[in-house]
Amino acid sequence: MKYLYSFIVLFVPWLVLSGKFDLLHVGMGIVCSLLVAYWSADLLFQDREATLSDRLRQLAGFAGYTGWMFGQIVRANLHVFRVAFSPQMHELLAPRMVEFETKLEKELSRFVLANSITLTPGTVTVRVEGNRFLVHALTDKAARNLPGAMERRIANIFEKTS
Amino acid sequence: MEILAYILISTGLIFFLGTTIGLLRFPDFYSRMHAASKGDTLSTVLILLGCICLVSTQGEMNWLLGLKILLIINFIFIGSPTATHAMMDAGNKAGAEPWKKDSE
Repeated sequence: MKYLYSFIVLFVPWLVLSGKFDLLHVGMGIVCSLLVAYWSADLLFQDREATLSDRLRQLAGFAGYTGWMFGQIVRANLHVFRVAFSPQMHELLAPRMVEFETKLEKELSRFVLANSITLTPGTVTVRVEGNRFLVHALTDKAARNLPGAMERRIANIFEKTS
Repeated sequence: MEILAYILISTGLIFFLGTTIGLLRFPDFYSRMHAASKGDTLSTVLILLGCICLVSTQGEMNWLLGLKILLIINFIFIGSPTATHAMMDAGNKAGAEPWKKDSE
């Protein structure tokens, strides 16, 4: 099964990037994708236990998360915009370092959490060591909201095993 | 479609302006990185979406170009926060002190 997934993951980008649909190019794509899938499927899919429905559920959850994330990014930009143009900028800022421990177990979900913290309003991840996150927050309010709703959402998508 | 493209690109440019002014006005290394990381992501994505709208009005294989630009957006979403993270970590290791309100 992992060979089929790897083949799809390799072949779809081939079609998009080559953009030619004649026999030669598509045939070459099929041969190359098959060979690479055969050799390196073990590298692409490391958790073998996950079933097809698990993967699809993760994908759907991640798509919804991306939409929510985009709203957060817009809010973050408006925040930076407002602070940057305000004449009393130093009154609005109260920067601080916050340290917390996360409950997330997988490397992937920690990576998503770190990048999400960077993209939400007023917080940037400085360092991740094991399950300890060091975060720089621009205001008190941003610091208090950590890790909050984001960690729960990510845990729902990636950590639950049915 | 072209009008939508121009609206998207101009919005992206306005956000870039806000980012740049934030980058110049913020008091220390860390808060400047805040401005840079956020503004960069959204404005680049807006400009690229505008490019998709522009591209879709010309040529017959344009959906392929659109897909390629979507791929670029995807990589920016992964790459931009990671680069910010690397720079923040480097600054922290080099001993940059966070700015405090009473230090001026």
